[in-house]
Amino acid sequence: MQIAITGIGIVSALGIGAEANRKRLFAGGSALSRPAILSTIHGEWPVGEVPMTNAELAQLAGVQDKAYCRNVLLGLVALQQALVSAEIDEEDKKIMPLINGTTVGGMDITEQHYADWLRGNTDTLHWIRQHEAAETSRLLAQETGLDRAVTISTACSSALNALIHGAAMLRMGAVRQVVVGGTEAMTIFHLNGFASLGILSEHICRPFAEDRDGINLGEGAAYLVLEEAECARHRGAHIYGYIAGYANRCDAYHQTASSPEGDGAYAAMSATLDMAGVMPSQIPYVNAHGTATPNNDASEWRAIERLFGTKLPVVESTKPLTGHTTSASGSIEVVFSLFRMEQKQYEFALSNAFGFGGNDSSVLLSRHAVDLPENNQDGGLHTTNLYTSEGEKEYKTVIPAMQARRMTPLLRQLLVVAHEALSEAGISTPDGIVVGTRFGGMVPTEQLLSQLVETGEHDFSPAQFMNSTHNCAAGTLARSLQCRGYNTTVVSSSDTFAEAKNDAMLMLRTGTAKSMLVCSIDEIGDTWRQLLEAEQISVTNNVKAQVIWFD
Amino acid sequence: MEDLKLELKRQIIDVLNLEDLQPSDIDDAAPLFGEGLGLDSIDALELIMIMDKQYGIKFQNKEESKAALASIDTMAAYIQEYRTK
Repeated sequence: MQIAITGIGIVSALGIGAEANRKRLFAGGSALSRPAILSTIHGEWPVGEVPMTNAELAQLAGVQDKAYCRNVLLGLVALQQALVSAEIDEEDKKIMPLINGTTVGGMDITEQHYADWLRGNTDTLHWIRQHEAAETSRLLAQETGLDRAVTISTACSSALNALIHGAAMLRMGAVRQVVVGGTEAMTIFHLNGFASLGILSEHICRPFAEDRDGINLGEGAAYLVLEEAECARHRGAHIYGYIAGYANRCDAYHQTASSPEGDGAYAAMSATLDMAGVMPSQIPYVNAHGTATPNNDASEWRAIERLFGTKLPVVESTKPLTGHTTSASGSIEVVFSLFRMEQKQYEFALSNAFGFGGNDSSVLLSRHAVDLPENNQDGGLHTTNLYTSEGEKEYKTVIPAMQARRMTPLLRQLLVVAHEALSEAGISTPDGIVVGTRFGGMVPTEQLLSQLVETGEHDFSPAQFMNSTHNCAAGTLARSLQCRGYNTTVVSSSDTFAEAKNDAMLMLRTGTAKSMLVCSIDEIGDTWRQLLEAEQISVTNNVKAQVIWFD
Repeated sequence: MEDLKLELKRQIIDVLNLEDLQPSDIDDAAPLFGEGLGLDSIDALELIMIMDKQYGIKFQNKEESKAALASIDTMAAYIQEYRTK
């Protein structure tokens, strides 16, 4: 089977829409500036803001009568464009899923009102529903008449892992059309979080340069309509390019730093080429993750050298133009890669997106159709019992003290139950790990939000920021188990374990893995619980683990 | 100086969640990073925050902070010389 790309929609600092982005991409020149829309005390770091206020975005999306967070508004504008450009008719939309990569959800609103909420002022508390990343996706699907939404949150590789989930659905034959991508609005929360890691540059960032000194934060959204190529040809759709291969791998090295040899990046890129049946020498162009931190670029460059040897392709990073659009960067840069492929008549373009937790993914785009491997994983599956944390289990035999110190109590319990499930399966290291969660690292998130209220935009703890991401648990499991295979985090407002299991089954059935550790972790603190209860939302703290595998 | 070292160890144990350690478990001269205590780059950022918040010390560059944060001995010596609060 072949996967065609039949629709694209994009908003970034470069502009609104595919044409505006293409023109400014080719013209070069940065769109970064001092923050004008985000209300922050930090003027020292250039950022890539989408040049429209929330009111203007709402007007453009035709939702001026509704109250949506910026993440939804950016996403909606890009998603509407993608569906229009693919000329999807209304009936087909009703059976078409959205696979959405995002992390911040409605954090921009939460951080504005959190002080009020803590004081017991509940006038604006209804906004807490939009805080959830999964709610961003649900609203996007609802506003555009799509069937349903799946949310993937693997930090800065979220949108690319959303694409991979969507492509796997097509290969399974579960759907014939799917829309994939990501959205991420800038927030004070993650601007200060990246600042705490000491990786924001005061200049326009310089990827792969000797004197590079960090990233610029950006925002934006991009979506792609993926379609069975036969279906696209049959309805006479315009085809922008094809998905020739993809892979998601884990560096399993450190929470934020990439390994010196670029192991995760190398594994993701080489597995992508393997899937496509293409040799490194056939690749003329790589859109690198290229964040311009000393660490990422050294590691990624090493991986590129290992893969391509002395015959290097053109390697480009578009981060100086748009800033690092974090969860949206994967799909934004796939769109840029399609533009470059068409402009330069490249046969292939490889696009990378890497995230904290060592979540490294690559996708190969092609100008001509490439047959993807048939899925042939129909054998019998084995499943262990479902392990959950009832009462507090002893963790010290499973987790070294230096690792345990940064984990919340439930994350420690997750590692224990994961080991129990693996032990029943007789598997020490699974091929892949999928974790479901509703709020991600909400306990450290609450602490940082309280700190914002008390002391303002100062002194964020880097350890707390790292642990606030949704994919913290999956990355921790990968490091603990030294699992360098598939690794993703699915976010859901309903049954987090069931959603994780759906993703795992998709990957097992399409040959990405022969064994999967499936987990869920839901852990919120007392403050957040009280706020949610005031809005009639109840959440149970718990962890689950199960192993599923083929013979 | 001994008081300062004890104070530093208590802060490090607290901020870095080294809950199983006592101040006496940390050797004044042993490296805090890598081979010794085994701290990592994120801990280094947390230590830089302690130096700023508690002692009013801002490092000019990575080499400076790396040298100052090598061990309890080097931290205490640096604080004594450069503290502004």
